[in-house]
Parts: sequence; C-alpha cells; structure tokens
Amino acid sequence: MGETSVSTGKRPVLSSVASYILLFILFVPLVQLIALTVIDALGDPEIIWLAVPVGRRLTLLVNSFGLAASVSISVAVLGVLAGSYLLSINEGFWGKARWALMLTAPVPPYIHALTWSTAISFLKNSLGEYGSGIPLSGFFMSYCVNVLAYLPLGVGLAMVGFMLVESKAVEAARLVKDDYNVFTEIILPLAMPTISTVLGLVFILVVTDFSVPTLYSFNVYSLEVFSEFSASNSTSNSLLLSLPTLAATFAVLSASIRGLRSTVQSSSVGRFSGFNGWRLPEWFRGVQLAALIICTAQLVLLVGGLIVETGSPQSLWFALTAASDDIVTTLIISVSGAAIGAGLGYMLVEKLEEGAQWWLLLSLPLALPSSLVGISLILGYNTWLPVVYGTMLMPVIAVVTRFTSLAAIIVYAQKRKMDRLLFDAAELFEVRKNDALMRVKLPLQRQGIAAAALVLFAFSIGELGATLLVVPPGSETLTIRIFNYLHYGGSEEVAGLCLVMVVTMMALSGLAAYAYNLSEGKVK
Amino acid sequence: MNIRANSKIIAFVIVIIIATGVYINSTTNQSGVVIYTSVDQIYSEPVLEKFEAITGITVKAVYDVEAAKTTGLVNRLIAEKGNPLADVWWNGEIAQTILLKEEGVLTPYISSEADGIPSAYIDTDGYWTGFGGRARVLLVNTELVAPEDYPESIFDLVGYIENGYSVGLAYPVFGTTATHVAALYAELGPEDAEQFLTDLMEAGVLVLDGNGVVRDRVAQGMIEMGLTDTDDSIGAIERGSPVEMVFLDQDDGQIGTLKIPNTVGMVKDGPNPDEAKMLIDYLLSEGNVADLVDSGWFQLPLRDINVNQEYFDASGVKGMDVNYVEVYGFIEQAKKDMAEIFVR
Repeated sequence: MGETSVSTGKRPVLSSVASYILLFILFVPLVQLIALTVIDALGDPEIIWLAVPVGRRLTLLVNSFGLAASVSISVAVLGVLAGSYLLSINEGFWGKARWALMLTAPVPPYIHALTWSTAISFLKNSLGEYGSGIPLSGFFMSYCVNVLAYLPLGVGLAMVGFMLVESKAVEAARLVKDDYNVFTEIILPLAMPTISTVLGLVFILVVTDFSVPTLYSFNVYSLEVFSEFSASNSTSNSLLLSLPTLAATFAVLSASIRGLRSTVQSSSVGRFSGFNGWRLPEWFRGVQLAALIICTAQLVLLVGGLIVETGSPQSLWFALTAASDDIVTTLIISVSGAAIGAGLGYMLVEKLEEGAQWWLLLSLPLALPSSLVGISLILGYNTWLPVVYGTMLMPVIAVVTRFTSLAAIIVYAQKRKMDRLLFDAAELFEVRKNDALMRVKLPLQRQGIAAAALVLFAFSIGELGATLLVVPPGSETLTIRIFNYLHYGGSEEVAGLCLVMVVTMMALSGLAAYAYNLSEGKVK
Repeated sequence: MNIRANSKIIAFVIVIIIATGVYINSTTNQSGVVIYTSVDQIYSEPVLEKFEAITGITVKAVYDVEAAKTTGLVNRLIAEKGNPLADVWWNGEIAQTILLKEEGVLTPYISSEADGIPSAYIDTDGYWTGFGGRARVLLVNTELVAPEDYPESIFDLVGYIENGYSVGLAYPVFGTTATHVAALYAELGPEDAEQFLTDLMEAGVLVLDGNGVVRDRVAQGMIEMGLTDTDDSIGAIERGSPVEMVFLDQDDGQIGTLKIPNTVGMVKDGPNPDEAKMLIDYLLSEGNVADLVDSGWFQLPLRDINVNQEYFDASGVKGMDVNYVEVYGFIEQAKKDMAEIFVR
C-alpha cells in the first residue's frame, strides 16, 4: 500500500517519537482488548468458532453487507449528482447555501429513521386503503433511511472532491472534449479518491450500525454482536464475533485506496471552481436535479419534522435551557475531538504509507462496536492512567479513538491526489526548520484536514456507545439526553434537542466557512 | 530526525497535558456521591435533585439509555471494578443487578429504610434491595380492538396473531423483555418456554426495537397490541393515546404477569461509602417511593404505602411466582436461545 518516494535523507518531521507516542495512546486500549481476547481464546479455544460466520450468522452477515453496499453506492451516486449540480450554481440561494445540505450530518441516523417513520405512517394513514402497500419495515425502509441519513456526508465530500480537482487539467480537456465527456472522463476520475472515500466510509458506518435496521425489523450482523455481548457480557466473545466485519472494513479500506495513484496531480495551484456555464445533456441535468431534490427533501423533511414536533419556540427554549450544560459538554468534546482527531489523522497518514499493518489498526476502531471501544478505554485508562479516567478528557479520547481513522482516510484521500515529489522537494530544500511542514505540506492539505475536522465534529456530536461508557459522572452529552428522552417518549424534547444539534452544526459550519474565506483573503 | 521540531511538538503535548491536568483537578476535587442508574433520566433526575436539596450532598449521575441495549452501564461497572468511580447502582430492573453481585461489583448494605419490603425483593446476603417497580403488560389500541376481544393470557397471543391481529414485542434478547422470557423459562421450564416463543415467532409476531417502540406503534395504531412495561404504557396514556393496559394471566390457575422491581446496591470500594449509604437510604424511603409512584415511574410500591395510583390499582395485580435469582440463572441461556429464534 505504500508509495515509492524519493529519499531526501530526512525523515518526515512528524514521523517522530512524539507521533509514535500519540499513536500508541490512540491504539493501545484496542490492542489490549485484542490481547485479552487472545488469552481467553487460549483458555477456551471453542470460542474461536465465534469468528466464523456460518448458518444464521452467515445470513445476517449477508444482510449487513447487502445493506451497506447498496446504501454506500446510492449515497456516492446521489452525492456526485447533487454535489455537481450544486457546484454549477454560483448565484442565488443555492450559490450561497450549498453547504446547508450538510447541516443534518450530526443528527443520528436513528432520529432520521423516527422522523421518516412518522412521515410515512402519516402518509399511509392519509391514503387509507391505497396506502396499505407502503412498507413500514424490512430491507427497503432500512435502505431508504440509511441513504437519506448519510446523504449529507455524501454530498459534502463529493463537493470537496470536485473542488480539489486541478482546474488546469479540466480547462485543457474542455478545449478538446465536450463538457459531459470532460465530466465523466476527467473530473470524475480525478475526484474519485474522495468519492471512493465516501463509498468506504458509508459502507463501514452502515455495516457496524444496528439501530436503523432493528427499528425496521431487519436483522443484521451487528445486532448479533450486541446480542452476544448482552447475553454473555464477554468482550472476547463480542470481539471474535466482530472479526468478519473487521475483515470487511479492512478489505473496503484497501479497495477504496486501490487505484488512487492514477489520480495524482501535479500541484495545488488553481483548484476547480465549479460547473457554472457547462453544457451538459438535458437528461443528465434532469438526473442531477432529481438527486438534488432527494437531498433537499431529506433536509426539509427532517428539519421541518423536527420544527413541527418541537411545537413552539417555548418548547425549543425549554429544551435549550434544560440541556444547556449538555450543550457545553458536547461542544467541548466535539470541538476538541475534531481538532485532536484531525491532527492525529494527519500524523497517521504518514504511517499509512509505511505498510498494511497501519491500515489494519485503522480498521479496528471503525469495525468494532462502539461499546467495545468504550470498554477497551475503561480497561486501558482506569487501569494504567487513572488520573485521566473519570475526567472530561475521556469522552474526548473516546471520539478521537473512534473517529481519527475517518480523519486519516479523508486526509489520505486528498494527499494521494498530490504529487509526492512536491513534499520530498520541500523537505530537501527547506532552509529553516518546519518550512516543509508549514509552507508546503499543511497549505497543500488544508482542505483535506478541514474536511476531516468537520466530519469528525459531526460524528463526535452524535457519538453515543463509547461516550456513554466513559463520560465523567455528573456530565452528559446532547446525544445521551436525546436517547434518554427517546425512551420516555418525549418527542417534543427530542425534536427540540435535535434542532439544537442542527443549529450548532450551522453555527460551526458558518464559522468554518468564515475562517476559510479569511484565510483565502476573500474576507477582510 | 528533526530534534528541534520534535521538541516543539513534545512541548505542545506537554502544554495540553498540563491544561488537562488543571481541568481534571477542577472537575474531580468535588465531594459528593456518584450514582449510575438505568432509570430514565426524566424520572431519576428529580429524585436525585431532591436528595441534594435535603442533604446538601452533591450527586453526580450517569444515566443509561435504552439504545445501548443493556450493554451500557452494567458493563461499565464491571470494567471499572478494579477502581470504581460509582458509589451507588440504581437499576430499573433486577437481573443485571444480580449479575453485578455475581461479578463482585457490589458490596452488602442492609438499609433500615427497607423495613416492610417483602423478603422476595431483598437479596439474602444484602447485596441489593428491591423497592417498587413496574410490571409487564399488554398494551392494546382501543380503536382497533374491542374490550371483549382483549386477550386474557400471554399464551393466547399465538392464536390472536394467527387470526390476523398484529402483535409486537421488543427484541427478547435485551432489557425487560429478556428478563420476561427468562421468567417464563423459570416458570414453564426451558423447553416449554422456548417452544412458546418459537410458536410466537412462527405465527408472525412483530419484533420491534425496544419497549418504547412497541408503545409508539400501538399508540399510533400501526399494530393492534404489544407486550411492554407499565411505565411505557402510562407514558402513552398520559399523552392521550387511545390505548389501554391489560394485565395478562390474572385468573386462578394462570401464571400472573411479571413484576419487575427496581433495585439498588452499593458499589464495592466506591469512593464515598458514607454518602452512598445516605443515598440508598433515601432511595428506599417510603417518601421517595411515593414520589416515584406520583411521577409515573413506579406502578408497584411493593409495600403498604398510602399512594394514589392514577391509572390502575397495582395492589390487585397478580405477579408471577418466580424467584428472581432463579430467573437470573436462566438469563444467558434465554438470551442465546432468543437470538437463535428472533435474530435471523
């Protein structure tokens, strides 16, 4: 998986003791969990069979892979179509608000599912006998809701992918080919690293989630892992059961990065600004528009549903004041998690080029159930570093552990588009310390790092399984409160708190956009 | 290696660690009592706030969520066993508490406030005390099912499904539904209980994602009836949904419904044992039980307490004649069997 580079005689700045220490901290609890599992397996070799999916478990695994594959492909396709359409509009509402489609990214898929269930139930009841054929359970509903829940991520990353394409290549191609061919033969391949990242990420996220499928009575493999954990309370059994999904995650990540080398571009100068003025076939514009309508429907229905369910500004205010401490806690965790995770992700990228073992490590926190990650953190920190355990640092470590891999994948996907010679030359010719890092590497990769931080922020806000296990007593996050109200049936409170999440994401996105424009000199 | 650059990075890391240390000090140097609870926050938070107001002792709570599928706080307590943060465990049911006793997480404490609680709800070694709770119930949509058509026994449900009624239950591998199945194992014997659940599955019972979802589906009229808990049902009744609770198997010769006591236990080697005892005493007090009945969390006070049951008279409900420790003994087998039957 590595890439040949020119030896500069220097080691990359971050390939250092410090980075090894940080990465050690990141992975050691998970490695400890694996070691405990190995010890248990040596004591009772029978449990090794849990790692072999046969019979009922094989069916569940097929269900999981089928759902994850169909959802990830759909999200990638819809993301490409809607994202490219949005980038063709430079003026008007969508010209300014194209990133608004990402606002619902932090809302947990389960909340999407509940909103859509209510909407479809209403539709079904309104249609009377005509609505009896509308399914309310099974694969189809699980598929639809997952696609809609992950669309914000798909559209956002697809737009990032297009914006990272080098404009010179596009302009040169447009001189000799029509716009549609340039789109399919030049832009899509050049944006493929990010698009394949979307494919891989969504696949992994869907294959490890059981909340949406179980809501629609569609049984998947991750539910089996949780069932086993619930029945035996054995982390070793659950980890062994998770091995097939770990293998799949590793395979998907490997497949996602395969072929990225062909997309290497020469410089960072002149990034693609959009499809404004392009002459694309009418049928293609129609398909793009249809994809955009689906994305918009997702946003409008979710936010509209939440507003309707919240009932009144007073309810929203009540939700806000009741959860004000939780909002602060959530912001501390998600902002710190995003910043630290993006930084660690950047460090990890350099390791990824050293060999497959790092990709395997990268797969671990993504493939393991969040509760196992949480347990591994308890075992690690409460045993070896109790001064940290029980503090607000733990939930930050939890989201960093779970999602740094996502950051690394996003940064890596962008880096693979860069010419490695630029980095090597920068290191070779740097006059002062850190010149290569500060003046070449970070500027070239800033969009990737920023996108990684934003994705991490969105996922950190919605994290539940690991956070619940390590959050310090007396504190809780918005997501924990939302799921607590959910069981009680407090739909107004749940809707109000979800709106708070969307508004928080909106505020942070606005700040991020302002900072980006500031750095680009577009704002004074 | 660029040592000067590395030293900057290391200095940065040290600054972060120092800043974190300052924050750690500010967050951990507070006296009080730490409680982990699986009881819905909406019910448990006011109780803990009242305790704080009465005693002046700060309570720091961690609340569980149903979405964690009972793999949350119980496993956290087990994993923290060597160096516990918690002082008190307040569980909305009983099986997981017995698990914590078996795992060596709890320590005995017999509270004077437990006087009057039947011995069946108190651990013989004093590791836990039951103090009021809920019951399993069939929630029926009154717009879809006439009162004369309500089932009377849980064993009628197979026939109801075969006659076209839609009946739901939560995944029987998690939560109180799993405990209910384990109680059936204890009552009927594993083979008969497993056969009954297999019959339910084959008849086409709808397996849903939690008792709250069962309640919502019945309340919305998407299914006609479903097995859930009394507290979930009361939530729907309070919101004006067209539903009614039916206690199954109440006649002579029938098995009764499962009563699910709340349980409280003291965490072994917890950092604040004195405050923990005070909190346990408060939770077990009759005044607190009355408050929990008022709030809708308790429907079964388990003691002769003068409380007003708004939605039904709990005193007349016939419970299953089961030993909870025996029920716990069947939990793992029941969950694994149910996974084989329902998760496929």
